[in-house]
Amino acid sequence: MEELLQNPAIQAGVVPFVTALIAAALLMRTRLLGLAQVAGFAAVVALAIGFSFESLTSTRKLVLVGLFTLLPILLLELREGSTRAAARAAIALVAGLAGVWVALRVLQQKETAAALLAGVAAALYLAALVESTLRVGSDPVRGAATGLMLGLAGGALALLGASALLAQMGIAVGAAAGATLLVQMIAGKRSPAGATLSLPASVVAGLVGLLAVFTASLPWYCLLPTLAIPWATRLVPAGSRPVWLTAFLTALAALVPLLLAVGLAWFTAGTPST
Amino acid sequence: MPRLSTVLLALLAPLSAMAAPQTYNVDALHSYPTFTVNHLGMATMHGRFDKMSGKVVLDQAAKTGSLEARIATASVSTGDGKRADGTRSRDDHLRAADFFNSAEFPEMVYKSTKLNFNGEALESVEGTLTLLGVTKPVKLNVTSFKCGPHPFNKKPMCGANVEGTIKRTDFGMKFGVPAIADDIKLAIGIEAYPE
Repeated sequence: MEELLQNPAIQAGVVPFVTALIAAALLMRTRLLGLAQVAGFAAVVALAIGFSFESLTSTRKLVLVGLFTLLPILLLELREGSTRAAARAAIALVAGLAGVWVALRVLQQKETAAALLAGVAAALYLAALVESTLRVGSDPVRGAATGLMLGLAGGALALLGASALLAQMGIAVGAAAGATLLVQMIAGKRSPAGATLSLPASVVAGLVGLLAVFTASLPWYCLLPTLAIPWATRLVPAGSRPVWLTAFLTALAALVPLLLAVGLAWFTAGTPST
Repeated sequence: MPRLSTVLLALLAPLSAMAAPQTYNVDALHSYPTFTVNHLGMATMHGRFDKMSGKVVLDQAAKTGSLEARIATASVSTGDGKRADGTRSRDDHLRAADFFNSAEFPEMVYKSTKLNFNGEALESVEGTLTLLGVTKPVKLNVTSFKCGPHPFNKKPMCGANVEGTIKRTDFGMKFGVPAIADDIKLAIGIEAYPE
C-alpha cells in the first residue's frame, strides 16, 4: 500500500480524485461543494510534499494559499445569496497579491524593473483567472468544468516546464474539480454550490502556472491561453439538455484553450526526465 | 654588526607569520563539489556543481580555522544539460522547485568554524549547510589535506578532499523519495591560494 501511495500518478490523480469525490458526495446538496476541491488538494499535499512549512519556499506558500481558499468559500457561501461583483473583485485582488507573495523570493533575485514587471504581470494573470472563474461559477457545471480544465492545464504546463511536483498539484486540483463535476453528472442535477466552487482549482492552477514560469522553465506566454478557459465554458448555453451532456460539452469547450496552451508549451519545451 | 635583538626579530618573524591565521581564496577552476545519489534503487547517478567560491582561514600552529563555501545551485550538471531537440533536460528539472529551486535559492552555503585535527592532519570539518533556506549541521570528513608550494610556479597553496553524507529531506527536498534516494553523498575537492 505504501509503495502504491508513493507513485506520483496515484498521489496526483487517484487519491485527490477519490478524496474529493467522497467529499463532493457529502457536500453535493450544499453551497460548500468547493471544499471538496480543497480536500483533494490537501490529499496531494499530504502525500507529495507534507505539511511542513520550514522554510517557507514558494511551493509551500502555494500550499498555504491553496488551503486558505476554504476561508472565502465558508465566508461567502455560508451566507445565502449570489456573489456580487465587489466580492469577486476583492477575492481577485487578494489572489493577485497572493501570487506576488508566493513568488516574492524569486522576484527579489531579479533586477528591480524586471521584478516589478514580473510581479505586476503575475498579479494581473492570477486576478484575471480568479475573477473569470468566479464569474462563471454561478453555474456550478461551468464552474466545475473550469476547475477541471484549469487544473489539468496547470499540471500539463508545469510538467512541460520541468517541474513534476508543481504538475502533481495542478493535476490534483483538476482531478478534484473533476470529482465535483462528476457528482453533478451522476446526480443528474446541478449542485446549489456558489460561485466559489472552483476557487481552489483556479487559485492553485494559476499559482502552479506562475511558479512553472518563475522557478522552472515554462515560457510565460504559454499561460495566456489558460485565461480563456473560464470564458470558453460560456460558449455552451445552459439549455434544457441533461446535466451530463451539458457537463460534457462544457468541458469539451474548455478543452480547446487547454490544448492551445499545452500545444504552445509542447513546441517550446518537451518532457522532463530524472 | 647587527644588534642581537634585530637578529632575533629576523629569526622569529617567519614563526610569527606561520602562527598567524592565513586566509586562502578557493581556486574556482580547480574546486567543485560532486554528489552521488541512488536512482530507482538501481544505479548511482553522479553530478557536480560547476561554480563554487569560498574562503578558508587556517592557523596551522593553533590548529584552528574556518571555511565558507558558496555553491551556485544553477550550475548543477549531470551530463544532461541541453538537449538538441529543445526538450527540458534533467539539469533543468534539477534546477526547478522539485529539487534545488535555483530561481528562489541561487546559492547553497557551507560554513564551518571548527576544524578537527589529529596531530598535524586535518581530520574533519564541522559546520552547517544552508540549502533551500534550511540550515542543518553537517560534518565533512577530510580524506586528504596538504599545504605546500605549487609544483610549477612555487606559489604556496593548500588542497583538500572532503566528503560527507546528507539527507536531502532534512532540507525539504522531498520530491521523488525514496525512488530517488534520500541520502546524498557529497565530495568536494578544494584548492586554495593565500589571499
